[in-house]
Amino acid sequence: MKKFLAICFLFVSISFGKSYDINFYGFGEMCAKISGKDGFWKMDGSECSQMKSSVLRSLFQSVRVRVLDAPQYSSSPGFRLERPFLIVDGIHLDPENPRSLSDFEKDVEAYGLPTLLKSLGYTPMLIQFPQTVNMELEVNGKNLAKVLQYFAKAKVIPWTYPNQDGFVVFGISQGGVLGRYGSYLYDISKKSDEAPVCFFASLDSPHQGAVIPRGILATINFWAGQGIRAAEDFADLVSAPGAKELLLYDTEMGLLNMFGPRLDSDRWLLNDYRKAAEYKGFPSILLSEGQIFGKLNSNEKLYFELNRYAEKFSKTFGRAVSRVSYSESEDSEFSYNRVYESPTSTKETKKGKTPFDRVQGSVYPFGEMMYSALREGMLEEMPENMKQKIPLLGSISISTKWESDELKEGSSTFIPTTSALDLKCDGKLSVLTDCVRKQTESGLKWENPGSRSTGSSIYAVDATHPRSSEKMSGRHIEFPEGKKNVLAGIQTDMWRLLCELAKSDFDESSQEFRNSAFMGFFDPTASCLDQSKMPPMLKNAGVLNKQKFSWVRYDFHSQATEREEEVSFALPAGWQKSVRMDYGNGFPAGSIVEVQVKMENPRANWLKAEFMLTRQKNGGSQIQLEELTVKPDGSYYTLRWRIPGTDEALKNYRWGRLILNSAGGQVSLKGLRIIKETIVQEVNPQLISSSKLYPNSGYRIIPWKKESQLENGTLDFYFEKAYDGVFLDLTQVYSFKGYKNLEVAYEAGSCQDVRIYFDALLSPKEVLKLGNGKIQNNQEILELPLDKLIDVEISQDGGLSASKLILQAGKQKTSCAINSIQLK
Amino acid sequence: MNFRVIQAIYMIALLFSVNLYATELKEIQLYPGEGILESASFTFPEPPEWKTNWGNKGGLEPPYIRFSGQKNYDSDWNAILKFEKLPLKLDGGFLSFKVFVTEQVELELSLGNSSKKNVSLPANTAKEIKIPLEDIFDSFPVEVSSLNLKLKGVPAWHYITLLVGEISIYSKNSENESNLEFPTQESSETFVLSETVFSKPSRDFMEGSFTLPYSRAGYSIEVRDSLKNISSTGIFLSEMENEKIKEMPKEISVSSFMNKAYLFAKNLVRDSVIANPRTLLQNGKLLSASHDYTLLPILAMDVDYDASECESLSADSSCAKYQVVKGHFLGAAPALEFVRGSQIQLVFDPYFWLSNRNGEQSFELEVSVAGKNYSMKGASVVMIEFPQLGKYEMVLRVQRAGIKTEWKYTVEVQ
Repeated sequence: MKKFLAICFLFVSISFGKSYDINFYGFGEMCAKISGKDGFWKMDGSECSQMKSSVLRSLFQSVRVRVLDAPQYSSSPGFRLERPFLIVDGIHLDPENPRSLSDFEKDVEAYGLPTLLKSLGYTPMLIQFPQTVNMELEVNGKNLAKVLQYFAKAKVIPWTYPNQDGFVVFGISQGGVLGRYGSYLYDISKKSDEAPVCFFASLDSPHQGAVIPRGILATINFWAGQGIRAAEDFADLVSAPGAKELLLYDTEMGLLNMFGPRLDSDRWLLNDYRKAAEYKGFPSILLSEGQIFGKLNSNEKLYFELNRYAEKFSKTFGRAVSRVSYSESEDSEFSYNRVYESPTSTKETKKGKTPFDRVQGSVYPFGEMMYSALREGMLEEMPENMKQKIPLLGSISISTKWESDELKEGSSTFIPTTSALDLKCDGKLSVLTDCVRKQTESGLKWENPGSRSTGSSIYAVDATHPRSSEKMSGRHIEFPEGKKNVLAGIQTDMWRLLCELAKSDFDESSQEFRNSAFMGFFDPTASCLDQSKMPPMLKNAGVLNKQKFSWVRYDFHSQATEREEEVSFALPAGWQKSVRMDYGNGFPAGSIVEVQVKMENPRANWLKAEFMLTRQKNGGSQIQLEELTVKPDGSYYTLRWRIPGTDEALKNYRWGRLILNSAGGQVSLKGLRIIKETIVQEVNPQLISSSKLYPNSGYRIIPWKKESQLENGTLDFYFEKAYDGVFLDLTQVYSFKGYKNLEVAYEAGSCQDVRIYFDALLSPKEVLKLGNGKIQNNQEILELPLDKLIDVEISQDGGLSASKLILQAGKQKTSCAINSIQLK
Repeated sequence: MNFRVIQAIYMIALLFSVNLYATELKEIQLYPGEGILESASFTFPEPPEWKTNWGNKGGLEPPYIRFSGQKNYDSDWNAILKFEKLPLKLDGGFLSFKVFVTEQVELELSLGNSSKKNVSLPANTAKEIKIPLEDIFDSFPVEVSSLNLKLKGVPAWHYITLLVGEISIYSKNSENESNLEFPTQESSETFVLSETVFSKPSRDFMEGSFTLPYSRAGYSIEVRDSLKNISSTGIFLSEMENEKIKEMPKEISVSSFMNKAYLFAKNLVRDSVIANPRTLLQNGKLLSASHDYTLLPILAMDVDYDASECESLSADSSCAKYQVVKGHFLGAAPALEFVRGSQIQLVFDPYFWLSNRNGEQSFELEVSVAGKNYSMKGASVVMIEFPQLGKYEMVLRVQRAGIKTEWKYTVEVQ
């Protein structure tokens, strides 16, 4: 039974904000094109006059940025910065398909990061380099430093508290190296009154290099030299500076090295980059996705073997062979490649050790990629129905066959664990020692590794990590896609990251978090290895996947499409088909369709909405979902419909229809999206045993600050400052299934403007407040809907469940005496 | 004169007029077909089902549009139907459709702003209705934008089902004024196209970026020197490579197209012959990705080349003597086989063209996709709209200097 879908048909008010793209151009002085603002803008606020709208302009982008769910700002450019959390994208390894910002957004959504960050008061900002392979790492790192400087100046994009907020920089894969280098360059050169980098973290980043098997590199080189285009593409990839600089093996044959390790200290990664790695101006948290048990990945020696030949008159006249292996000795072969085209033959056998091929660390399917590309190339050169043209005789048939066609080990080590942890052994970089192969957990202090690592804290797949029992390390930057183990691993990594972020945010002198959103969920004294301290919001991260529709049309606004963030139109009276959307395939059963609706200037005080699924674009065989009621009061309301049935039953229902029924008015729609469950979570919080939450001796009352005045463990409190708070700790996550409202009774006149919510702070506009209750027996009584007190997007089961009830002063010098809190 | 007599006279007149037009009228089928209901004026109790199949209803073949429902008061029920093939500019002709209704009612109908016509519909019998346009319009040409139906005076608490189908206009002349359902929109950003000299090999790109080699399997300096006098085009292919070019299927993938284009990059006899097709493809993909795949560049090549060909065989069936033959290749391909979103911009810019042929004559391109044709004479950008997500055949007809070739690709709208 899927539990998370308890939210179906709820009427909640979670804001779905607007995203803004900022594209940077140039290497010297940067010019930015900001969505929602005309022209190109320099850091000092002046216009870049030389830029034009050339169709090729974006080939000259140096960095692109997407600000997700940006806080709105009343004047240009329509948004502002608030606690920017920069997520830096990694290398694009697929030569066929480069990555777009939307691809990156989809990936971070799979981690559940944007929702988590917003609930913690951060603004997620995606940073992507268009050229991760073809551009030097140093150049991209410098460009990132310029982007940080651009934002810090706050001339073009407003930022209210740059010094107080600072930058949080989180790099994924290669993005960790670029993010660390760029952060370092910015931080050492910034002026004292400019925003600092206050926190850096990386996920599975090759701080000491990455690995593509030696035999694969030799094979790429051989076949590229034979004019196989797919091999040429791979050769471009590994020989371009953005990849070559990261790889521990030489990507060129050389005279002596033969694709062997390249560990000379003059290469950028092991030289100039070390200055950034050793910099202590901000905390650096280094996360590895690799295991650390001192054992090699896999025992298979052979990666793959392909051998195809062509026969004419029973005589072989063409053959192609490729064999790639792991090698433990200098005399063993690691690659053998041959091409024979009668009468000429070219072959190459490479021997030697492959010391980094199977070191512990996250893996990547390099063997499989190479095998597939070569297999396709051999089939193209020697197809099944091969013919040869003979002068005067026409064509003759050629017989073609596989002598070997075997993929034995498709994956191999990509990011060594000790590289991602930037570990040192006896003061040397781990990749220069045997540590890279043999390091175990023993003796490593994860949360304070001291001189063993340049990281302030380091984390890998240790014995407490949910993926520790797997046969070998998992794939580098893998997405859940239905795999529970992968999701559990991601959640653990995100918990460790955010736990460290919360710790660094904690002000020891005042004994409080600078960012109040951490209060109540993160304990600055807790160990980030202790997963029992993981807040419920993290246990739901990555379970839900949100997607916008790729095809949308509006019946009363013929020009609007899926590209518009917000669409407004005059809605005629009556039952009106208003929006049509195409999902491409059948709507996934159990998913949720969500849209935000606002009606202004209504002709009568009612508005109803329905959602229909149809097989055909113009209707027919429709499935009509529940009618929801919207208050036409000029505010946005979020509507959600759960898609019923099973995937099989819905497989032909690809079209969706939003129907609005009213007496007419001006309607605005935004945030149209589908929310899918990526994995079935066995999360089933226990039903709360009593409707009485307070007084209740089973629950604890905990103030956020020690000095907050509480009367003898009661909810009778006084707060000196605005935003101070207290929470009622239910001690575990309980389901409130069967209850709809929360009744709060408090002394008349007290508790005015006190915010009330469960577990996670809803956006300031949406949060409910006490005050103006119904007066009864000298007390005020308010009944509040539970679905407006709980953010179901991040609750543990995606439904009405929570572990803490928070009361937070909305203004200074607030007294509040609660008499009772009861579920209704 | 009773109603039946009037109706008989009317039908005879109608048949006469139909026969008059029979040899010169063209049928424009409105339904079955795409269409929408004008919601603002719709007063039937329930929304219609656009494609209903309840089987043959007394001669009315499915699919048909179904209107059903009842009201708790007496009223007229109105519906204005707009079809994908409307509006139409008409010079005369007639409207034809079939209706079936479960109770006897009076139907009032009109076309756009025409005068109205009343027809009495018997219960549970399909009725074919043919209205000469001359009966409802005073003068021609006229523009027709909708079919308007009204069930008059439907009594309260009567549940009625009305089926309407097989709707056509037979017209002397007609001109489709626009596509009602999916009007083409202007691009949100007006681009300035580049002034690239496509016959030269150099292309502007990001400073400091890695330059892709033409090929790592090119001819050695010695072989190049020996071929320079043989190949006037600067490109020299082997016999087998020439066969691959000549036998290239016209229905191909981008990857297959590039495998062939790569043969020209690999077999250069001297430098600066053509732009690097691998660079153009990579930059085309990068450009598309930088616009979240809502922009699709089209690559075009017009290449003269030389190739070896076996002239005579030796006794052991190997080639005894080769000759040099001339070859020519004209082709086009999209940079990617997928796009994202319902509207995309097709970019045909000289940056993505390459040629070693003399002359600066521009490339021309005709694109057929999603049932529409787009003409791109020289450098241009057009907006393409897809009616739904899914895979589409994209036909590219590329033309230069009087030669035209056609290529078929599959592009997925995701």
